Amino acid sequence: MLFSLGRRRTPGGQGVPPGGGPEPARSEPIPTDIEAAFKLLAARFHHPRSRDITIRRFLIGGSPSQRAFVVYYEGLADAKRIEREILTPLMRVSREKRVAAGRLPEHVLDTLLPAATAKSTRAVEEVVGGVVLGDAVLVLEGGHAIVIDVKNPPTRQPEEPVTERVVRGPHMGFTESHRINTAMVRTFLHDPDLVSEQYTVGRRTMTPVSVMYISDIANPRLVEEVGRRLRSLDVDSVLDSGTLEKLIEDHPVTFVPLVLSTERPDRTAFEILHGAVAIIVGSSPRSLVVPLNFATLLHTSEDVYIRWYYASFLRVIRVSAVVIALLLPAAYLAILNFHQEMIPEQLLVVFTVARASVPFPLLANILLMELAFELIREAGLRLPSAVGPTIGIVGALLLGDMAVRSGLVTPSTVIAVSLTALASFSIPDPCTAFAVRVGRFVFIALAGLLGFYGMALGAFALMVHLAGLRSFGVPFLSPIGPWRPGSPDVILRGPTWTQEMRPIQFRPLDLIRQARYARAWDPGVPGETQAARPQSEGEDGQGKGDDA
Amino acid sequence: MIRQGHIDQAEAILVIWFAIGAKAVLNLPAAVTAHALTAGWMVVLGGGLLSLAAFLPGVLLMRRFPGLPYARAGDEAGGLVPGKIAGVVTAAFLILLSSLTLRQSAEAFVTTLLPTTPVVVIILVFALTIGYSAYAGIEALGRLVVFFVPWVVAILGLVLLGEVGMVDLRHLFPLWGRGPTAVAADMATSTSLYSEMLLLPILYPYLRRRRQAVRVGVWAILLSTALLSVVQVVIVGAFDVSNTDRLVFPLISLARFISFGRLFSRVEALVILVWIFAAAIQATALLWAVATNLAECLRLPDHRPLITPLAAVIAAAATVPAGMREVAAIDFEYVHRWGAIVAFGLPLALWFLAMVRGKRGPGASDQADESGASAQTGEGGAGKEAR
Repeated sequence: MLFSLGRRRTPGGQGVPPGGGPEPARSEPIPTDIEAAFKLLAARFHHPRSRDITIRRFLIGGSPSQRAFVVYYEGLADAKRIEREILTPLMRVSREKRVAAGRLPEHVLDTLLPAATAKSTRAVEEVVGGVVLGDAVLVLEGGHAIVIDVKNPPTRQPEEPVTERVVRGPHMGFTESHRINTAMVRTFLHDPDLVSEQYTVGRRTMTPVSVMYISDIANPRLVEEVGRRLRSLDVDSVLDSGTLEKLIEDHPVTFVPLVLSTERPDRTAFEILHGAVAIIVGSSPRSLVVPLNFATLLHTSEDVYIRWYYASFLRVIRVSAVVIALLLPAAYLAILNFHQEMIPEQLLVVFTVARASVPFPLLANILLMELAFELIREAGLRLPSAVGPTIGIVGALLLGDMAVRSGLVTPSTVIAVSLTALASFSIPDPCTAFAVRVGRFVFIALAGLLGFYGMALGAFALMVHLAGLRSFGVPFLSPIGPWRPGSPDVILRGPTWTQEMRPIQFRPLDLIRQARYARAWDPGVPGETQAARPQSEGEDGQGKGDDA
Repeated sequence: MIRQGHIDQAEAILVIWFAIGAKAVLNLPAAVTAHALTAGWMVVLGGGLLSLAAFLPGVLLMRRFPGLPYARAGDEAGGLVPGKIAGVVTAAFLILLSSLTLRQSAEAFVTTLLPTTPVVVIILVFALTIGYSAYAGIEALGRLVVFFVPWVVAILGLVLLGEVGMVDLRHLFPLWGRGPTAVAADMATSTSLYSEMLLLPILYPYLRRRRQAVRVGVWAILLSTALLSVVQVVIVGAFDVSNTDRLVFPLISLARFISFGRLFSRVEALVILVWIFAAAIQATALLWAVATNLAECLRLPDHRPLITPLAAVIAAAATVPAGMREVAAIDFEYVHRWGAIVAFGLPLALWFLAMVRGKRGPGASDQADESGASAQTGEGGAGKEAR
C-alpha cells in the first residue's frame, strides 16, 4: 500500500485542521461581561506591559450604545484599515438606529463591517490565534467576538530567487509572507481544484502551514498522510520550513533530504501538477514538496523551459558533478596510494616526482586542502557581501599558488580539490550539496585505508541506504529502483510532447498529463487527432504561406 | 511471518542471478575446467538445465503453504523435529556458502587490489558492509540490484567481448572432454553450482506476485547458466585447458589484457571494483536468507537481531581455511558436488512428506495464494514495512 502510514495512530497534537480532521479541543469561552473580557484578554496579551499590543475601547453607535473593544498587534495588523473598516463604521452608526442586543454580532458582521474577511467566534483561543497572526479582533458585549483579517505583516516584494536562479523562466521567488506565497503558487495554477488547506503548527509560534494540492490529481492518501503528520506534531515552535521538514520526513537521521525545498513558485506548481503536495510554512521563503525522489534533486525548474537536449545534457553534467564531488579526491588518493598500475607510467612519474618534495602523506595533503577549502567557503558565506570577494582572492592565493610554492601540497592535489569544489557548486539542491560535502570526507577516509575496495564498499553501503529510504511512503530511488515506467523525465529529459504521464510512483488519481499527440496541429500526427485542427488550415494555404 | 516488505519479480530474478553468477569471477571456471576439461561449458550448461526441474519442488512446497515462510512450511510439511532439522541444515548450508564465497572474494580482492592488506581485514570490512546491507532488508536489496545490473553487465561485456579476439575455438576440443559418460555424470552433480536457488523458496513469501515464482526461478537459472557457460567458453578458448586450471581467478586474469590506449593500461582493478558490488549483493542476499530462515525456524519476531552474530560467524568461518587452495577444494569437492542435496533435495523431501502426510496450509489454492500476494502489492507502505 502506498501511504499506509496514514493508518498509524499517533498522539493527538497541535495542528489545527481546516475541517475534516479531528475536532479541536474545546476552548474557554469569552466572558459575557465586556469588562471581564477586557481583563481576560489584557492579561492574556500582557497588556500594558507588552507595548505593541493595542486594545482600543469604544462605543458602538446606535441606540442603546454598546461597549466594545478591538485588539490587535501594531505592525502586524494594518492600523489604517482598522480605522477605516472597523472603528469608523461602528462609531458613526446613527443614534436613531435600534439594534436588538442579542443580534448585535450578526448586525455588525452583516451591515457595519466592510472588511472582506471576518468571522464570528466565542472562543478565547480563536481570538488569541487571530491576534497573534495579525488579525484584529472586535470583542462585543455578551461574549461575542469577530476576527477580522487586516493582516499587514512586514514583508518584501517577490524577488529573484537566491539559490535557484535561471536564465529562462520566471524570475520570482517566494517571500516572507505566507499569503503572498500561496497566491504566487496560484498565479501559476489557475485551477479551482487547487486546494489550500491550512494548519497551525507550534504551540508558541502558531505558524500557519498551508497544504496545497490539486484535488483530482494528488493521491488522497498522500494528502491525508501529510495532514496526519502535521496534526500530530507537538512542538512549541516552527520558525521556518527547514524545521518542519525535519519533523515530517520519514527518516529523520538520514543525510539526504527527503523533502524537496524550493524557493520557486513555478517549481512548486510544476511538482503539484505531478501529483505532489506542497507545504507553505509560515513566513518561510521556501516551500516544501512531498514526496521526493532522488532524481528530482538533480532537476532545476529551468529544465522544463529549455530544449530537451540542453536539459538532458545539463542533467548529465549534474550527475557527473555529484560523482566528482563525492568521489574524485578519494579516487585520486586510492589510485596514487594503492592502484598505481592503473595510470600510465609517464603520468605516474610526474606524480611521484611532485610528491617527493612534499613532506606530508597524500591523505593528509588532501584533507588539509579540503579543510582549507571548506573554511574559505564558510568564511565567504558569513562575511558581508562587500568583503566576500576578498575571501575568493585570499583563497585562490592560499589554496593555489602559495600552497604549491611552499611545497605543502602537489599541483595535482590542488587540481583535484579545485575540480571537486567546482563540481560541488554545480549540484542544484543545497541540501544535497551539503550531503555530498560531508560524504566526500567519509570516502576519502575509506580510500585512504583500503583504496578502491573501501570506496566500493562505501558506495555499496550508501546505495543500500538510499534504496531503503522512502519519502512519504514512496521509495526514494523510484522510478529506477523499483523500476516504474513513465514519461522520460528521470535523469534525461525527453521532449515536452513526450511528457504524457505524471510520475506513476506518486500514484496520481489522474495519470495522464497530456494527450498522446499533444501537438494536434502537427501534420505529422495521426489523422484522428488532426480533427482538432481547423479544416481550412490545409485549404487556404495558410501553412504554405507561413512556410514561404 | 516476519514482515519485511516485498520484492518485484524482476528484482528477485536479478538477486538470484547475482547470487549464482558472482562465482564466475572467482575460482569456479578453473575448478570446472580442472574437472571436466574442454567440456566444462557443457557441464555448466547441463547442470543449469537440470536445475530447471530441480528447483520446482521448492516452489510447489511453498504453494502448499501460502503465506508461510520456508522454515515454517518445513515444520508444517515434515513435522516439528524434521522441520527444525531441515531449518538448521538449511541455515548451516547457507552459512557455509556465504563464508566460502566471502573468503574467495576476499582472496580475489587481495590478489587484485590490496596485495599488502591482510585477508582478515578484507573479510571483516566486507562482513560489516553486508551486515549493514542485510539489515536494510530484501526490499532495499531488490531495488539496488536494478541499479547495479547495467554496470555489471557492461563490465562483463567489456571483458568477454573485448577479449573475444583471444578466443581460439580449437581450445574447446575435444568436445566431450573426458567422454560423454563423464560429462553426463558431471552434469548431474553440477546442479550444485546452482545451490543459491535455495533463495527462491526463502524469497517466495516476499514476492509481489507469488504465482510467478516459477517464472522467477526459470529466468534466474537461464540467465545464470548463460553467464557461467559463456564465461567458461571464453576462458577456456582464451587460455586453453592446461593454463586455465592453473589460474586462481581466470576472469580477472583475462581482464588484465584489456587496455584503453595510453590513459588506462590495466583496468582489472576497475573490473574488480564493479565485481565488489556483485559479490556484496550475493553475500548480502545469502546473509539475509540465513537470518530470515533461522529467525523463522526459531519463531523469532524479527530477523535483524540475528544479522550481526551471523555476519560474525560467516566472517569467522571464512578465516578458517589456510589459503585459496583449501577454499577451492572445499568449494568444489563438497559444496559444488553435494550442495544440491540441501538446495534441491531438502525441499523435494519436504514437499514429498507434505504430500504423503496430506499437509496443506490454509487457503492453499492458487487463487488464495495470488490474492494473499496481491493484497500486498503497490509500493509497499513504509508503515507496514518492518525491513
